Parts: sequence; C-alpha cells; structure tokens
Amino acid sequence: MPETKKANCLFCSLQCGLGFEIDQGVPVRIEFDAESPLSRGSLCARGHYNQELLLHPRRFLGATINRRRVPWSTATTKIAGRLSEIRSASGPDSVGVVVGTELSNEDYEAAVAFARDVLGTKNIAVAYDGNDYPFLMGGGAGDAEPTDLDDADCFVLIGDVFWGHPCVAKRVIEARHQSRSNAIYTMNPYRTNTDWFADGHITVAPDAEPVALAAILKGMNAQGAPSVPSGKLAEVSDLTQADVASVASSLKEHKKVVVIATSRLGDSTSAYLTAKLARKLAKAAGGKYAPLFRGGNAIGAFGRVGSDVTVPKIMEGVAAGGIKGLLVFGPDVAQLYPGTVSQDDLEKLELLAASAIFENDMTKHGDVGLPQSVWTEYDGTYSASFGQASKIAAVVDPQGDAKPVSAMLEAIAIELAGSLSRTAAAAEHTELEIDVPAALARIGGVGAGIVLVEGTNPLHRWEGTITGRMTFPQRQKPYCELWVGEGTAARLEIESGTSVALSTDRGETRIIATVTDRMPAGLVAVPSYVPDARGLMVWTVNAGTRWYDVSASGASLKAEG
Amino acid sequence: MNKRNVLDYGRCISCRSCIAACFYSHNAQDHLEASSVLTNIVLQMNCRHCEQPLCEAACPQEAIKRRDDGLVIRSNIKCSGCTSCAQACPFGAIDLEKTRHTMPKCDLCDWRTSEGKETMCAGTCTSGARTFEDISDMDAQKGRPMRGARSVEKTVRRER
Repeated sequence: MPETKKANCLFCSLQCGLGFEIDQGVPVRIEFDAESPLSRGSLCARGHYNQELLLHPRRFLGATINRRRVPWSTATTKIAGRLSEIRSASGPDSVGVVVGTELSNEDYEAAVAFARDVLGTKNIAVAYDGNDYPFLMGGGAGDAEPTDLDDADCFVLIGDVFWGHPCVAKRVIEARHQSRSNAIYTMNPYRTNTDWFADGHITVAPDAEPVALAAILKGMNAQGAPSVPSGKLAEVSDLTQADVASVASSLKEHKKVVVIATSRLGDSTSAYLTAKLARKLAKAAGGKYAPLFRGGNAIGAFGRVGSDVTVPKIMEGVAAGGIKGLLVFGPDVAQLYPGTVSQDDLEKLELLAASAIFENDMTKHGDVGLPQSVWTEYDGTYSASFGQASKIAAVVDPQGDAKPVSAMLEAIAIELAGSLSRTAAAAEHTELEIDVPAALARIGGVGAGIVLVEGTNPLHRWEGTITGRMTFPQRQKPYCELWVGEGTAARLEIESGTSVALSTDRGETRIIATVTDRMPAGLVAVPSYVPDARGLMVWTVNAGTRWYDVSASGASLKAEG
Repeated sequence: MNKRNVLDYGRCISCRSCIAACFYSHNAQDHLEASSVLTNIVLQMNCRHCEQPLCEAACPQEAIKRRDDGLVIRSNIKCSGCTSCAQACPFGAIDLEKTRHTMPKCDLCDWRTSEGKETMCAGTCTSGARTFEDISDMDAQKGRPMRGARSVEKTVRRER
C-alpha cells in the first residue's frame, strides 16, 4: 500500500514542504504539504524535480579512483592515506575542505570537527552561490516569520523575489490584497515578473540598490542612515526626491512592513550593503526583514562554518600551490566560480577528492569521487528562511552507494584519528570593514555600451548542474535566452527569437535573444545557469568582502545571419 | 463533479509550476497548454471539461468520452494522434504531443480529484492564481471581485 512521507525541498532557502508517495520503496509521485508554514502546500517547478532527482538515471552512484569504480572503503582509505602524507610533508594548512550549501546542519558540524580536530586545518569554507555570503554578512538570516506575512500591509521586495523563490508569492499577493491601502514596492534593474505586482517599482542600475535604500532611509530620518553623494541617486536610479519622500512616508504610515530581499550575481560590496540597508529599512519602519538565499541550507552553513577563510582564499591557495590536498563536498567549484581555478591548478593538487550527486568537473578531474546522497535520502535538520527549521526523515534508502557527507567524513576520520566527534558550536565571522560612504560613491549607472546582468529563471537554481539535468527544463524551447531592450535591439538589428553572438573579454557564445520592453537601454539579462553564458563573466576576489565580484567587461551583442 | 480549474490570471507570475506539476504527475507528458502572450507572460489554456465537448464529437476513434461525473477523459490506447480534437477544441487546450503521436489531454487529475483532493496544477500554484473550485453555481461567480494583483498597464508598458 503506498504511503506518503514528508520532506523539504532544498532548491532554495524557503525549504518548502512536500510529500512523496512511496510505493514499495520507490517515490512514485509528489504530494503537497499543506502544513508547511511558509508555502502551505505550494510547490514551484523546482520542487517537482525532487522526485526526478532521486531516480535520475545519470546519478553518480559508485565510488571511483581515477574514474574507475572501487569499493567505498578503498576510496576512503586512499583519501585518508593521501591526507596523512600531505599533512606530514607540508603541514595541516596544506589541506582544505569546501562544502556546498545543500548539506544538513549535521553534515556541517561533522565537516567543522573534521577540519579542526582531525586535519588540524583552518582551511574550511562554504561554496555559497551568487552573493549569498555577502548577503548573510550584511543582514544575517533575518527576523521575519511566516505569520508576519499574514498581517503585513506593506512589502518591499528587492530583487526578482517571485521568480527566484516562487512559493512566497501567494503569501505576499494575498496580504497585499487584504486592503486597498496595502502596498508592494519593488526594486530591480529591469522590470521582472515580481514588478508586475508593484504599486511602486524602483528601477536601479545593477548593484545600485544600496544608493536607493540609503536615500529612502534618509527620507525616513532613520538613525545611522548613510549619506548619498549629491547627484548619485539620479545617476543610478529613476527615483526623484519626491519619490523618495513618498516611499519614506508610505513606509512610516503602514503598520507592518516586511522587507524581502534576494541577491543576484554582481558586486559583493553592493550585495553586502543591500542586505545591511534592507535590514535597517525594516527596522526603521518597525517591520521585519526576510532575506532569501539561493543555497538551500546557506543559513545552516553560515551558522556552523566560520568564514575567516572563504572559498576565494582556498582557491588562491590551490593556485599558489600552498594547498596540496582538497576535499570538495557537493559543489562543482569550477562551474560555480568559472575561471577562479584552472584545470592545471586542480591537476597540481596531490589529492583532489570530491563528492557529488551527479558527476561533475570535480569528480571527473579529481583523484577520488564519492557518490553523495540527496537530502531526501537521509535524516537531517536544515535552517530555512523565515526562521524555520526543517527536519527531514529519509523518504527512501540512498540510491546505489550514495552516502551523506557526514558518513564520508566519519569513515575517513576513523582511518586518520580513530573517531569523529561533532560539536554544535556557532561559527565565527569576523566583521567586514567596509567604508560605506566610499562604497556608495563608487556605485555607477549603466553608462554607454552593453552591461550584462543576471536574469532569473524560475526553472533553474545554482549554477545549473542539477536543474540543467532535469527533464522538464530541458524541454523548454528555447532552453535558455537572453533579454535585450527594444532600443538596443533596434540599434543592433536584433530580432526576437533569433540567435545572437554574446561576447565578453572572456569569450563568445551563441544564444537566443528575446526582445522586450522590460529592459532599460544597454542592459542585457543573461542566464547564469548555462555554463557558456556563466563562463563569459569574470569572478575576481574582493579583499574587502572576502568574496567574489562578478562582472563582464567588453560585453557586446551581435545579430547572427 | 462540478469542480473545475479556475484561473485568476491577475495573480499569475508565469513561473510554470503548474506545467511542471502536470508534467511530472503524468508520466513526463504535460496536458497543460501554455502560450507565451508576451515576453515571459505565460497564459495557460485550461481544459474546461465542457458539458458538450467538441473534442469528443470530433474524435473518430471514440477515444474521448465525457463521463457521468462530468470529466472528459481520453483513452491513450484508442487515440491515433489524428489531431481532430485539437482542431475542434475552441480553447486550444489540446495540442499534439509530437514525441508520442497521441493527444495529451487534461484528465483533471482523476486519481486525486476522485478522493476529494485538488488538481496538481491548482495544488502547486505558487501565487494562488489557479484554484480548483465548484462552479455549479455560475451566477455566484459573476461580479466576484477579481483577486488579481496586477493590471494590464503594469504588465505591458503603455509608452514606448
């Protein structure tokens, strides 16, 4: 008799509840979980991938050494042996550990204990997607709860909230329409589907959200509001001083304001400031702040893995040869941060061991590959947005030889040190020292030429290595597209639905163009879940944020044929 | 059964979750036709499970039948993929599934709705645009204030 088991989706930090109808150990259908506090049963397209993900025929299911299938114990013995040799020869800081953002809180605790107690290294970092890390550093995990959405009478939505995290849309729209006087304000570089629902839409240049937020805070006479340089607001947004006064007044008059913010690829200082000022705005309005993250358990990771060492530092260590052994659990670092580490760098490593749900560049080019369980295949707890905690009990046994990361670490630790004891200590994050006035002054408008901005797609998540393998998004025609404004398209003689050559200083790719009146002049939205398009952008290390700035220089578009 | 999928288009965010839900719950074959009205504005063509289904009348194989409970259901075995039903449907709710040469058609998630649950597309909807409601009293529907959240002006720019 089929039974229904509940779990949570981990394709974004909302962690919506869902059910699986299990028939003889096989997940045959998705069910809805009406008791899920935030989504109340809704499930976006990505949520439906949870079933296909479990049964996907191309899952990575057996341990490998140099891509040859081996028993688990052989793989973990190899890892332990190499780690021991490297540490003996070059010291504990010659090894590093990188973890993805779809692991459980217990996995992170195990990873921290493994790095600290077994390896004796401080080189452990989380591979956050996009600007999740500076967002967390700037504003933390937020203070809103799902019930805050029921009686909120004003929302400020920063970023493409509805397409990035669709299941929050119903709650926001329902609350907005409880009364005529309720309002939604949105802030985006172009008109997204979220902006359709705005009572007031603020157009800002990419990465210029902090300027608009600072202006509104000033308009509210909020304590500690940073000053906006003269002329800057007009340079980077469509806000007039009258608009600022109107929005500020509206926020003060509404009884309950909820600020919901989500980041996109871009300048990390700007992302940090956006989160910081968004949180300040919520406080100034007497309301609540709810940041939404791309990484499903980014909040859990941030709470457990400190960030004095971040992924950029580890990758620099790999490139410089200081780090000789690298363990990567979950993310495809090469695809998540294109260009930050070369194949030569990876091959220089004396040990590269990687775990993943699907084979990726890490498992293929590494020495040891370990098949990783999907989150619905093992018991775990996770920290979601809106202060929620998800507790997943395995809905099925892991496929093939897949195991949770904590089990992998335990097996390696037993060979190295005899045991692994986890402690649930809070992570330490040294405050970033950002000169806010200087940072605001540096923010510029779109200017002349083509500027690339990341476009959101409700069917995709992360860098696309998981969602890109799902059948449903693969059937979309076209699979991916870029959005270009009518004026720019007319100037470049680009027709909607035709292929264009998109190039930057890093290279060139071909992609279908959609011409739309949503895009301001010069701005082009590109899909970051497509490796070709993602690889055209440049990830450079920002010492101030300890993260990457993502930009594209020399961007150009050319009609084909 | 007098419940049907009702679309309040003013709340749709065009996230395609409804199409994905239909796709994954129907053996990777979605029955929810969607047209792009404008850039990334997706309008779903609901099957209405008509009282006098033109698709049933058009089908030469008798593959489509209206049941006593009001559901208009297609038999996969009998369907030959001739597209007569697609041409007959005034709502564009049927389209040729080219990979299998048969006509996928909404079955109102019969296995769920017969147990009192909502359809997959209505259950999954992330914005509240799709609901599964009793439409037996159509007069009660008239004058219902639109719960919609956006106007055409906000969706389509007025000025160039």
